[in-house]
Amino acid sequence: MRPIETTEVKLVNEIRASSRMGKLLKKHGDMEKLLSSILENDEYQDIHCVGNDGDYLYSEEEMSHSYMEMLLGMEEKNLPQSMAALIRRESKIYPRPTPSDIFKGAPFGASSEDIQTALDTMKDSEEYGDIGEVKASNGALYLFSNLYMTAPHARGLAEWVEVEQFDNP
Amino acid sequence: MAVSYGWGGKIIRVNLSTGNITLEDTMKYKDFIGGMGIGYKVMFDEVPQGTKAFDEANKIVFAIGPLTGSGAPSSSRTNITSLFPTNPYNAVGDSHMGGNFAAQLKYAGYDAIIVEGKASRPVWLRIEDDSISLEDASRVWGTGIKNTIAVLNSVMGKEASVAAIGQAGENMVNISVIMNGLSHSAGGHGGVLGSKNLKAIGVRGTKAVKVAGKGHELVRLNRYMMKDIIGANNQHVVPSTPQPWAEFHHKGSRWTAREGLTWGAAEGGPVETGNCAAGDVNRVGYRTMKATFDLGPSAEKYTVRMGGCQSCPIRCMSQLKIPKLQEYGLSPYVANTCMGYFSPQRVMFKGYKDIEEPGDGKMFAAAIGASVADDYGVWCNYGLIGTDLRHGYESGIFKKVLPAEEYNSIPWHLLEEKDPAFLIDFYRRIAFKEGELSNLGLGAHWVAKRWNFGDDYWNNPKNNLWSKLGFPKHHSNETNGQVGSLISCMFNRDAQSHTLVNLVGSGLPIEIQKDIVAEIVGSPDGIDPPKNYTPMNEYKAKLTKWAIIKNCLHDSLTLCNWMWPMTTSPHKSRNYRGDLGLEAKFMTLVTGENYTEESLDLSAERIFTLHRALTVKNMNTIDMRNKHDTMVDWIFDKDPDIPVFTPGTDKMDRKDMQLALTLFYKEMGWDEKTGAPTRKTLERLGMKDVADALGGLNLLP
Repeated sequence: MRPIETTEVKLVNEIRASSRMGKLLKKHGDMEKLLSSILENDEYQDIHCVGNDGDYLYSEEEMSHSYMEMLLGMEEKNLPQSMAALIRRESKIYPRPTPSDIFKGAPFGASSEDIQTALDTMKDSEEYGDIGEVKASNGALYLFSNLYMTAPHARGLAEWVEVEQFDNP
Repeated sequence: MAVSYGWGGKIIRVNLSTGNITLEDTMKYKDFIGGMGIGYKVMFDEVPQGTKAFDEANKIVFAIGPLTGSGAPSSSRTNITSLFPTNPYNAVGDSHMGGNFAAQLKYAGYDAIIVEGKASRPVWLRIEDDSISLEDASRVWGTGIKNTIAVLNSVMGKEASVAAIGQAGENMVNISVIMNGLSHSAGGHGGVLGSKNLKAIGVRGTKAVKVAGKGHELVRLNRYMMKDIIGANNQHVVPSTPQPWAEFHHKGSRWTAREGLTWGAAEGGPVETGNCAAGDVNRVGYRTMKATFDLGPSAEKYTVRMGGCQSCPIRCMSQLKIPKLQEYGLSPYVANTCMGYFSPQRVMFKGYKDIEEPGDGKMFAAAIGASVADDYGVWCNYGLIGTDLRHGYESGIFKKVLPAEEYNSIPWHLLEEKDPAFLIDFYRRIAFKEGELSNLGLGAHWVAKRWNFGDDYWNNPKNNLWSKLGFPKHHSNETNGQVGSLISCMFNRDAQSHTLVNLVGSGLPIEIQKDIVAEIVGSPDGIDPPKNYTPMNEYKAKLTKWAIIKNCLHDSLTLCNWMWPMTTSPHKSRNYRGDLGLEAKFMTLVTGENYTEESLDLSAERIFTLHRALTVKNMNTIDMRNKHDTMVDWIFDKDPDIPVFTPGTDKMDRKDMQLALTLFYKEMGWDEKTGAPTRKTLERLGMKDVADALGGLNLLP
């Protein structure tokens, strides 16, 4: 017999489905009481409230932490901040420079103009003083944080991804 | 013969001079597993020192292993071993092909084919289970690979797999291929078959591969690998773009599936690859969209599907339908992967013009070039044919060495105009040995010698040359510095070792890679971040040994080293750890004998050391350090503004590389001065006969 789908289960399923589709679920209506119950339930340990005010819901089973952070950044509609967060993370943990065209795809969906505007903003702001630019020989633009890597290193790695790897496939 | 699990149990020996066909017991080679191991043992024992690649005394060994056709994923690899004509000493080399040939050979009950002698007229070898015969090849001699395969398949049936040479092989072009399935090619040995008047080998098997374990156990192991371990092509374990399921992404990853990307020309309408999350067993085959990775976004709408080899869930061969190709006199259908597509792009060194829409020139050059080169059976020496063409042309050397009439007959204007029609003329000249230009088919060492290519040729970083033995870099200094460099020095052709580069290119952050390497060699110092290398240390030597012997293991089992070993996993829940014991698990299950990772690695060490012994014998010197394990100057001199061992460069240091050789020789138990195998090591590995043979030639250190 099919188990009865409680309101709690319905919401958990909705959160998980949204995460699977690459979306955060924004709290809506009066769900605080229901959420408290979910968050206290051991069966739903994958469900989390995130964001400054805990306004967004996601399932860590269906969505990675890094993707959730990228989405959160976009929810705040601050592209320079979102870009800088990813650039710093990649410069730190790989280290590697970040291709500028990555921001055109999901989850950012920025246009070329949006990206250029964000880059201009970053150049003018002390907050982003660590963000630098390098180009591969095919003209592809890469961004890096000098907190974690040098410009020659970033340039060398950009050249590998854009050009050299295809000479050594 | 006793029942043999895993192995077919029999080896076919074909003497083309006498027409004799005999069977031998595979088990005498069991210490060498199969594939590459059988090949090296036969070559060491049976081919006299001083033999050249195209001599009647040379032999060529097609060999597979106990896992071939067993159901283990990515196991339909054929290893071909013979003297290698591009090598200045014609020292031994391997070429490999995927496709269906290996599995069919196993289904027929065989582990290897040893071909010796020379036929008095063109023949092909027909194998149908227990029936083996030499057949007249006059109907197909002089024709291309596509026609040959079509004709022989019409004789044997469409289930048969035919491995054939084209006109390049018949004409003993040094850089020519043996190919099965119209796109699965083994580069470098086509001319050896041509020298023996052997046009093709067709094989059709209908027998079962005997597996010792229970069927459901094999299914369970297979499913474990598919769900928990396997990634995309080259065992890349993160997607190339940010995706909800993935903690990491990497633009260089071959896990290129994403939302909105399609096989645009699929029958019945476009098929979307979608996001293929780790663990989704039924979408593993969509993960690697190699068409757009290799050829650019223009290829999407022409992609019928991604194809590949028998037993492989990773579909890395893009199969395209490009109607416009018919205007070049070619079939609209073309299939290939990797260098098969990249090499024609390099021949078009002036660039490629748009054909149907902006930006599609690269794809058209690749498709036209692959179609023509594959039919003639022309190899590229891992892309160097384009390098050599460019150097001869741009340096003005061709104007001096080619007769004026020939020079003027070459459609250079097409090259200058970036017109891919140039490729049709170019590959014909190489395959048919037309004129002086066709000496590009000799391979880099012989080309440079013939036309006096100087230091500007060898030492130009853009030329990608690695060794004056005439081969290019193939995952070398840029792949973990000294480790990739050592790997590239150890063979008699470009190293085809993917053990290390698959880890480096996995897409995982450096700390995870360091942790994995520490588990393998005992210290994270075995690996550095890309282009930020540290001086040599003992752990890098250990990692080099690990990488090479895994490669030799896979070419003997046979498993595809473009996928194996399973060093990493796409699953965060596994902390991204793969399963390096998986080969042993499959071997134990398939053969019914108890194998461990250590026992298999020991066998592989034996095989690699035998390769070294063969090289010593072929070159008639023990001075491997100075005569064999050498690198050209640009590797040390590139990036003059960036000091070695600082961020931003992958150049190496001369003194440090000598230390690297010493530490590696020590790991292998070879003589630390010369790099030759010692009697002690050969005997430790059970090869007293090899030590005695080398001793008799005064070739022991």
